[in-house]
Amino acid sequence: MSGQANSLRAILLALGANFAIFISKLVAALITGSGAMLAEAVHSLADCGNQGLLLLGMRQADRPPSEEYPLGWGRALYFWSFLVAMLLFSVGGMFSIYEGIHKLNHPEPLKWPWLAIGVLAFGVVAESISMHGCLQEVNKAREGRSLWRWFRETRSSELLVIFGEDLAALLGLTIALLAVLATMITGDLLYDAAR
Amino acid sequence: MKDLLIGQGVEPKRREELMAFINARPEVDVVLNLLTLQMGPDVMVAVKARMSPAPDQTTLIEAINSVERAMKAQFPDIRWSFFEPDIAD
Repeated sequence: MSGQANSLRAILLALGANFAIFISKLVAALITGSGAMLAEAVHSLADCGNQGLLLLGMRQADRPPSEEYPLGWGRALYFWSFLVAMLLFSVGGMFSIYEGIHKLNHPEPLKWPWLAIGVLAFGVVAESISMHGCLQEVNKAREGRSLWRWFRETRSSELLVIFGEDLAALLGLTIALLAVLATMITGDLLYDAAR
Repeated sequence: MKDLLIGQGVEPKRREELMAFINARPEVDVVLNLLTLQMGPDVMVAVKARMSPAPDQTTLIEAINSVERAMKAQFPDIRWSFFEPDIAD
């Protein structure tokens, strides 16, 4: 349905971006010992797994109908998309909050802030590429509707999840970048924890 | 997402297009009821329609089959179609 959007392309782009970011964050987290950076690395790894689950869902949806499943497996996509949406929230969100509270109680000085900034900037670039590809597919599916109307009306659950994830990642990275800069400028570790 | 899990029809614009397409077919007098269900990449439709007068049963069945064929050609994601001729909804 909905135009000729290629969800697979959007998912693979997001997977590539997240994996590249995961590696860069992991390396940086090991060097700097930044809690926020470790949380971000785990977040990126979880996102990779999430894209894997979406791919699994798309493959399962292709299974042919049988006597027991007379209308096929198409709706398997919704189950996996739903699961991924829950995982994005719980693993990504909750772990970050936990790390933040931990940092508030046990502050550690921010080492190598420029490395943190470099990783975050790299993340912004990678996620931007992913978001760009995702938006290209969304624009095909929109057929002249506003982004908001597409968001409300689309039946393409997997594209919806990728779009939401890319958006959240970009916002998160931007906020993190600002927080590191704030810590660098003020020397107050509160911002590193809040990040 | 919840809507799709529960069982949502096709996008409103698509449903309108489908409705107009079937109504425009010469074999069909008027569509009495149209039900769609999005099944991931595929779509299921159930149509109840008053057909144009047909001299016998075979002609009526052939008319229904040709509408279904045309519908699937125009909307390739329709994988299942259940077509019921009727006189009232």
